[in-house]
Amino acid sequence: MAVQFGVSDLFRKNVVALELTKTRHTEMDNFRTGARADFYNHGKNYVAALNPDKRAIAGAHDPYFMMHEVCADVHPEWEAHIWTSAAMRMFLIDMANPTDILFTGPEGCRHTMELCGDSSTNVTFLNSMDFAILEDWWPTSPDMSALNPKYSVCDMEDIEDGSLAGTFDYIEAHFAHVMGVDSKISDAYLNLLKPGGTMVVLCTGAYKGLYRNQTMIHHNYYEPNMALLNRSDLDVTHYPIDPGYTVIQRPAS
Amino acid sequence: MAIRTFTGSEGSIYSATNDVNWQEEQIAFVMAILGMDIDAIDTVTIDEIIETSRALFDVSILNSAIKPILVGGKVASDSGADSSVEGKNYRHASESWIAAQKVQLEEVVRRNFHWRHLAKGVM
Repeated sequence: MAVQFGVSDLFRKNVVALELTKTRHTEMDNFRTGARADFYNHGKNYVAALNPDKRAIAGAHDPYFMMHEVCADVHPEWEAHIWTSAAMRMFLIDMANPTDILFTGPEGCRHTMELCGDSSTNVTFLNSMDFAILEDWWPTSPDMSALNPKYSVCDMEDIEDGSLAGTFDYIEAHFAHVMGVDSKISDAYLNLLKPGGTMVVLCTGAYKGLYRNQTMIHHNYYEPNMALLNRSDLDVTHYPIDPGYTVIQRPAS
Repeated sequence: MAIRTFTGSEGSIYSATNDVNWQEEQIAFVMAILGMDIDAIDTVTIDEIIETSRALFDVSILNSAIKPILVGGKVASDSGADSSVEGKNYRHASESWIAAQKVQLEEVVRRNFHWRHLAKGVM
């Protein structure tokens, strides 16, 4: 049975976007029949086997932690919402055409695995549960295995201690990984960028919550966003679309 | 810590131990902010952390001392003496700001607690 959601025009517009979109990944990476469907089903079973204590996420305001469960049995409007976000992520990476990439919350899909199989691109993942699921999933897929993926993984300590400063020309990070209770972690992420590099932070709009709050500056995502903005050495653009994107660029010099 | 690389034959390079260590450091950070005993990190529950946060930042319930209300076409301050004409509850700006800090602490620690639980399951 499909997961039931309350829906709104904010989601319905993505149904239109999905219907009017065609990329080389549309068929391969869609949620119902492609690699993503396989990945999210795998992730759903993987997480369930770890017997998660759902008291920890009882706030239930963070869909990121239910992503595998939701996407494995997806409501059409939610599917369109996630697809639109995923399409934007792939588009931004293709536009940047980076050499050294860091992903904090990778999605198992053909696009990700093609990057790993591309000898001209060095892909690094954050040592996280998302990576654990990805690493457990792709060998089960003959199509993904045939891409001969190669990649690296770094620990959060490597990011925080500055040993990877200036390493990456593209970083795709979910705000859940970048945001802490102070700006130390976000500063550490920003220091990873090479001159000319780009960092895309996903869900910086608190899944639209930041835009709906009566007094935006009293939303708990305001200060973490300001921590990104307050760096004088970087160009920071916040796009208030869907869950919110922040695109950060370090000038080439 | 060092970067680990998969070139085709290394098997799993995810480190549940490193993942747990990082999550525990972050959980302990929030516990320290809340004035909790970080030596209890192996036994503390997420409920205890959230309850401590709610007790420390006691701004969860809207219960204003003065409640603006329109009486006879004129704005008045309802002190709550007459329960039949209750004005609007609100948060002072300072309370609202503190509430945001509370939510932020709880959001971060919920994530770290969740991730630690899953990573421990992989160990």
